[in-house]
Amino acid sequence: MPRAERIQPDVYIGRPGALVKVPWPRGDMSKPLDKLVYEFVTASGQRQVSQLVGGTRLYTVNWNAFHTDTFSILERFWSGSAGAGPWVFVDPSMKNMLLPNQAAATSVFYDTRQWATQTGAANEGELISNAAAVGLHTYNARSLRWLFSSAAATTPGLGLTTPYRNWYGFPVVPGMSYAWSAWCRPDGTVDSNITLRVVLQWLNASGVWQSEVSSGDTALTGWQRLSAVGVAPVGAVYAKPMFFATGSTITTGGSLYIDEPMLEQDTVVNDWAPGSGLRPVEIMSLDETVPFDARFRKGISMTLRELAP
Amino acid sequence: MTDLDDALNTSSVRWTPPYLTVFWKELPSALSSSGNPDALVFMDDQMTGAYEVTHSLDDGLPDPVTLTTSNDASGKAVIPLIGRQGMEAKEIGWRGTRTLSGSVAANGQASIPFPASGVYWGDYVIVALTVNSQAAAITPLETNPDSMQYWTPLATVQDGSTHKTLIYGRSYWQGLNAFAFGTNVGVNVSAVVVAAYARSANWSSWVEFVPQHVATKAETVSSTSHTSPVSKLRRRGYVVSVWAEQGTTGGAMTYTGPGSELVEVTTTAGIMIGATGVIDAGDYTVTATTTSATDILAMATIALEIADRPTMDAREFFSPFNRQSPVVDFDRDTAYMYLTNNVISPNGPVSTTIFSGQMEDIGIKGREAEMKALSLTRLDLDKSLVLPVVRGDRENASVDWLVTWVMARGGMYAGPAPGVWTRAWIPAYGSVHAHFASEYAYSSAVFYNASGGAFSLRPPKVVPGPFMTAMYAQQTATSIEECRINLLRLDLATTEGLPVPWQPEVKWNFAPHFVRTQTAGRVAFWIRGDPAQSAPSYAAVGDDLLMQYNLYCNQYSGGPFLGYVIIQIRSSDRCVTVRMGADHTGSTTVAFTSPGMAIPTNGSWNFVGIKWDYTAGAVEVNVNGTTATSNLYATNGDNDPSLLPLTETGHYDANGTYTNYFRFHLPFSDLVLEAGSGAYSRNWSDHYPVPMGNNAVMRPTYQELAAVAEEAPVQGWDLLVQLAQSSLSMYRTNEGDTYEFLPPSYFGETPQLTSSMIADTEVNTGELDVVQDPSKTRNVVTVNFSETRVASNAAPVLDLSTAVEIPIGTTTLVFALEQIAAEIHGQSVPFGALWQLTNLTAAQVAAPTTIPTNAHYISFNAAQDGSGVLLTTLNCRARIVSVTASTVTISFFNNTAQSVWIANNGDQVPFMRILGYGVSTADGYVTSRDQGSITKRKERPLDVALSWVQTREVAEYISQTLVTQLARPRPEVVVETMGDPRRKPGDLVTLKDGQGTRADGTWRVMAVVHTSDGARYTQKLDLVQVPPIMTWDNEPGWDEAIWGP
Repeated sequence: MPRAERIQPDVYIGRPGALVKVPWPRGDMSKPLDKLVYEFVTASGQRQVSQLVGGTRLYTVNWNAFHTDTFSILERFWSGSAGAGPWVFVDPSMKNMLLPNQAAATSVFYDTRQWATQTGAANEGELISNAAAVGLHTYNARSLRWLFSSAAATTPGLGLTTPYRNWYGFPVVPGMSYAWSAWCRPDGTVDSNITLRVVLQWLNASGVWQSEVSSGDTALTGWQRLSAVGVAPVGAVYAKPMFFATGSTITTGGSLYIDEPMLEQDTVVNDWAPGSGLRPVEIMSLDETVPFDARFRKGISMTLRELAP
Repeated sequence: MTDLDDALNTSSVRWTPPYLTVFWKELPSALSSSGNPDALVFMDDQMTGAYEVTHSLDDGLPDPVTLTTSNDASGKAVIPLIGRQGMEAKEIGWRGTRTLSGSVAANGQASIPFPASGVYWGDYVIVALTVNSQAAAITPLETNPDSMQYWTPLATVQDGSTHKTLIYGRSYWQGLNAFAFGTNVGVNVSAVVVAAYARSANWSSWVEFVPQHVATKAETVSSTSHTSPVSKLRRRGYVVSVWAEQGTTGGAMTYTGPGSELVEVTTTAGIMIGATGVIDAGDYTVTATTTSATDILAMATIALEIADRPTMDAREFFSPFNRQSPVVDFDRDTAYMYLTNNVISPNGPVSTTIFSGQMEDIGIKGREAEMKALSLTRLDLDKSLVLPVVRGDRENASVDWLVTWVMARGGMYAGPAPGVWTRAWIPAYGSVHAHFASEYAYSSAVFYNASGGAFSLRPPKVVPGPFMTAMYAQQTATSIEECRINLLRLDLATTEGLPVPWQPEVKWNFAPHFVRTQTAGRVAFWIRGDPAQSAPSYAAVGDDLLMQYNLYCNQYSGGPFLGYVIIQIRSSDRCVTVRMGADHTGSTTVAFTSPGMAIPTNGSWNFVGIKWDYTAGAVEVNVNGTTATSNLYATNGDNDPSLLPLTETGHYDANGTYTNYFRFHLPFSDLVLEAGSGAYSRNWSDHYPVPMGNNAVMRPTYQELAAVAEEAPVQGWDLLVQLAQSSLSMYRTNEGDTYEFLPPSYFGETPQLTSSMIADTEVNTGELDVVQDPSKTRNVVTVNFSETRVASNAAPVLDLSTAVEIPIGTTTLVFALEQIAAEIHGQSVPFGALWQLTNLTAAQVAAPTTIPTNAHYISFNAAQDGSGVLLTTLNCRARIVSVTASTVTISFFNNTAQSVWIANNGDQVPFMRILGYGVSTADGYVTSRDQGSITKRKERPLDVALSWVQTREVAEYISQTLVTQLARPRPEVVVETMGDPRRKPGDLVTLKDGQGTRADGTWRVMAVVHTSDGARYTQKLDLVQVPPIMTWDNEPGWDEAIWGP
């Protein structure tokens, strides 16, 4: 599926709800996902490699030249004039804004961390990292199994941990379109037909619900991709992706499998891609060079490091 | 294959960050489990990901020749820390409210419950109450500030005439009950409760409230408009205001802001709480009105500040001087902690604990902090201990008994552990001597045979037991070998319990055994199902038994039975019988003969438990999990406790007696006697099928001792080291922080002969460092030891020839013995006639040959030089009250009107003589040589003093074993491998090296150093070579082994 043309090929920086647009970095942007990897060398020169699951990105954002007024936008964050961080850096090239274990439907940690039912009550179902082939949509190692061992609530809800403890959701830019999607299916053994919808809720700076877009209730009998696409309204600060099932359609003991969830900034739903998360960042450095004309800056390079959740 | 095998048997391993869990003593246990980041229990976020953990096995060899010189038997951990992440409250607000109004009588109590809509961890709860008496002393029931039920008094304000208003607050936790208070006078009370919360945006963590500035004001002029005192808020938060009326004349109050009213009571006496919104620092006043009429109010404001947590780096957070840090007052050498390695297996994350112990310190170096920790078990075992006296030729004594006795003092148990209801614990690990009982308990082995019931003492044998070892007993057609444990004065038992690992928070219950208000008890033990002769012809009726427990209470010695419980296993049907009753009620014997209740004859080990409640007339018996009950006594009235004494000591003081002893005619072990209500009400899972508290790893040495009789206290850990060296045992504290004592036989068991990993330099192992230290080679080994014997006949162990003044009345003196004694004459019946010193007469002093040789004696004289009159027991007497190996404590009773003297003027007649079974020692040595090694290397001697080798046979065995081990260089290898968190000292490793060292073969891991840093998790292994091993069995259950040259 071809990707939609980006409407806003700019980057944004600031706090949730107070993001400032900065021109697209025409000097390119480097953003490796740094993972801690260790290479053990045996006495015979063979190798074993171990790694820590998870990692953080180091953004190196390069602009060829800025007018000094534009450069001041960046400088206020680096100098401390904008107060203390951490900051949001909205990178339109990010294909999936979800955290790694969310985007991978538990395939990263093999457990259900970064996922939670709405209340944690038994009738909201329990979450399991699934390895059975029946619950895998393509070739990821795991999927999320949402099991209802006891009678389901009227509308059980399933959500995702926010990328940062002081955020209410995933920061958004009002006026930009976001797409929330996931492949889902009932287990097909205990229950072959479960009604589910995916919902993208818009929250204000205090985490209060403003409005939402939804896929609409859909009776699932096999793998189906549900999606909710909408433009973040004025006043929206966070997006909160959710799943809501219709409890009356769930047989006790039945399950839903969820795979390849994706939250993206786009007007259409694209092919699934892994996510490393839209996470808080801190500025590590900001380089500038003053050319012959003091009204400009050139060779601008800003490095940002993603922070712990 | 386990999940970990799947995860680690690959060349590509995925780790998740380690877990560090710390239990600070300064944190209440309830808060510790709350999950709040400031509880600091889960310190994973404080870690850099790096750590170094060391575990090693001390090989028990003398220092000059120990195989790995860097080894220390204690586990150690070093963990760098980075400090604390910041936390800002985003979700802030108020829970529901609660009101209460009514009256409380004088000296009455009342409690105010919490808001009905629920209060959660970390909420700050404020209780405000007003009473209609200024004279009333309103006192919270919990006054201990360290208690989690304690409420902090925030303010008290009196309005000038009739009312008193009190405000309390505290952070909520799940175990917090309502605010409870008492009053000395009758009062009318109105009360309100509110609770504020502050949470992170995702609700995962709470932020504390701190009540800071509190201001009060009592109005003097009646008005409808009221203004609070100034509240000084120094960071963002709420200004909370409390308003109280003298009654209800002012009518309902209205909070006029800023902010809103939270709750109000308008009956009895008006009281209201209002609060601003969350506002920034500043000085604020708030206002309210009384709507119906003018009134005088008492009021208070509380600056309830939100303690947003700023980020602190390691030096800020762990500095002992930074008062802003929540851990500034926390001790850094008392917290228990453990560290977990986490790996992702195909079936999900798998956690393995690689270190448990106690924090030693958190040091600060520059911007970094470093936590150091040490095995807590080592600290627990390193106690100053006064060893009991154990006499080998009477009750047996062994290294195993002493090791397990010391281990128990540190909470380590090689078999079933005692519980808080235990009054006597006789595990029978190498001696019949109790591990825990009255200091007067007297154990022995008794021998009968067919020649008219001949009776003699002979030490019982040690045999393998269900957990460790057991003591042998038998009943055959020709003889009975009986193990007897007489507990004697249980009322004088120690009041200091042992550490109970499975009941760490429960205090020991030293319930009396058999008094009017407490008659419940329980006995549990393991008994071997050996065949036994039923009713042997030479045995008296009362002596035909497989096991017996007698608990009698007599009005006086030989007098009426006021109550008794007699438990037996009969030889005829091998079933348990219980007889309870008293002389004034009669008694009934109940036999528990249902299927499965008979002790089999197949040589198996069997659990037997009997518990009774005399007052309730109930008994329950458990044999190998099959239970049977009887409440016959409750219906036939044989269980009348009304004549039992009120206290055991009082009964003794009134010349009453108790009898309390066990007899076994089959091998037994792990005997526990419990008393108290819990002993009856608790189910059998304490003991069976898996007994509680068995936490240590130990194998028996079967190495006997002549006696345990130490002059002075010993250090527990040092003693264990000496015992290990004296039995060629290895030892360590392990990853789970329990103790391991491993004699050579342990390494001959199948699991220890099975390689647990392959260290292959092609696949998972780095370069080999091969060490072969010739300086540790010894070919002439001399073992110095103390050859120890215990006298079979009583002989003088103290002859006092120094005059001692005894003043009027009772005097108790401690005398050092001239010879260490394993037993003082008469110890089997302490407080009886044999512990009474015989007063010498003038005739006996004049003719010393007439002095009895089988009794302690003393001469009381009216004159210091012995020239006066010798006094009789009517005037003066003396009695032994307690003994140790090196002392005897004697009470003197001088009934005369003046001081008397222990003295006489006889010809070399001691003034006082104490008889005992002396322990004599002679320095001995044994030397063994390896001539082949001497020929090559000349003599390389090793002199080693082994303080717990008491016989020449053992010394010879040890010297020969040592010289065999040490006569040639012993190779060691140090390698670095990819980490496996399960790897531990003692494991057998198959080493494969294709790089030229040819060190292939089986090696024993002596030390493991776990090193983690980011994605790196490797281990350094210290290995010693294991020669081919030959094993054979000499007893069921245990393997003996010998290493080839």
